[in-house]
Amino acid sequence: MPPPAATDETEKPDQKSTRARSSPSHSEGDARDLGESAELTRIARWGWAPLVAGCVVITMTIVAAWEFAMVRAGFAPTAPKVRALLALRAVVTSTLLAAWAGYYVLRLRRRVEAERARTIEERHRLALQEEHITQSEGLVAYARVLAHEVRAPLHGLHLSAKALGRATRMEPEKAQRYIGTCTERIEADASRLTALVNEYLAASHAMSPDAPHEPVDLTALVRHVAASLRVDPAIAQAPSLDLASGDVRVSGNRARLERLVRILMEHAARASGDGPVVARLEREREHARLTITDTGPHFVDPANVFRPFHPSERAGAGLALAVAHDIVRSHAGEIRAENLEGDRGVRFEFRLPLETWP
Amino acid sequence: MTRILLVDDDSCAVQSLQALLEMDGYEVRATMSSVEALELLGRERFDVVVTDLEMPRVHGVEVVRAAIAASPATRVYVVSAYQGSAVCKQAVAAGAERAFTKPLDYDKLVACLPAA
Repeated sequence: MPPPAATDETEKPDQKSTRARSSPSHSEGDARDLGESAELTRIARWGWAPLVAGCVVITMTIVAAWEFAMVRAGFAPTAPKVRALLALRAVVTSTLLAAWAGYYVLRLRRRVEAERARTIEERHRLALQEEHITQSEGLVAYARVLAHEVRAPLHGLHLSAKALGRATRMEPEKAQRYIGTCTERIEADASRLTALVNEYLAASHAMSPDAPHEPVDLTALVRHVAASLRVDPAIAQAPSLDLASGDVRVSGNRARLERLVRILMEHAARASGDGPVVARLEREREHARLTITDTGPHFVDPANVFRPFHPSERAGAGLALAVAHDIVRSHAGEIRAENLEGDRGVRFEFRLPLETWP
Repeated sequence: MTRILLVDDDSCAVQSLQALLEMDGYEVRATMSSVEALELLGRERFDVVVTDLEMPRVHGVEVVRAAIAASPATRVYVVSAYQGSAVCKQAVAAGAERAFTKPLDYDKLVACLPAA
């Protein structure tokens, strides 16, 4: 069954704390901190008993040794009652001192524990803030590039409008030659502008800083995306799948990961036309690896294909691959593209940390 | 008649600019491939070359160099979405007479061109 798309962007407080704990770059340290914190809580609750008991035993041993030494040296009082009262006084005084010392130490520990909890909370807050800043910077960078990209269709619109204006002042027979083509170009450029704006909106949605993380089964997700491409009339050949047995779970945002897989599969399928595309999902030690191999033309410059609006003869210039790159990066993963040997074919590969090691 | 080579991977822009220049009486050869532009420069002579800069396979600066190498008298103009960028400066250093910013002010371009 295909996984439901996570469309609800609202976030419950417990989801927030889950996301903070499972934040990719901090999850290991956080887990360690939380383990230490639980240990400290246990000590704070029950640690006083062995502490006080230890103090009492040590004090009694010292008192007994002192008494023994006094008796051996001949300085101790001989009356047994007096000796017993002295010993009792020493034990009670020592026990009270030990109890006070234990109480004081435990208070100190509680304060240390509270301070540590505050530090962990602050670290989570800063990590989330850093993630938000990174994503905001990404959107600002996209917007900056977009501002340049809209110049191309605007450039075409200006020229087509000017040519159209000139054509209307020509003789009708001559004008006909230009009017139709100019109108078509104006429509085409307007469509390009619309597509650019839509692409930016989609990118800003994919880069939304409030997207919660959760366990995501990549196997089901890849199957779901491939199934939707099979019924897409614009896709001639949907990818065939080679999936690892069992779940391949990662921690991430389901909607973003679905968009990531869709971007890569669509790109490969469109570039390949009728040619085959193969998506292979496997576990690789502590990572999930998805490889998408197509039969489309080579990239001219594979190292730069993830730059926003990088011109490409495979699928034009756009934000899709840049968004894919940023989604992988926000999940602490790696992505790359490389040309296959021979005249055609490109392989995309991304790796994401598994939620739990197999 | 003044011969102009237009190079831009944007089909709408290149066709509209070609139409405008033809209306003004220029003989225009247009291509959307910078690779084809290099071939054309190798076998034909142009008085003016107007080229985009950001293009796949061969960058516009290379087109500028090839045009100047083919004929030092050729006037080369570049059109870029990146105003005052490093590549515009590179293009001018390579021999381009002027760098225009997109959207192109057609009248300013025509003012720089020799008579048709």
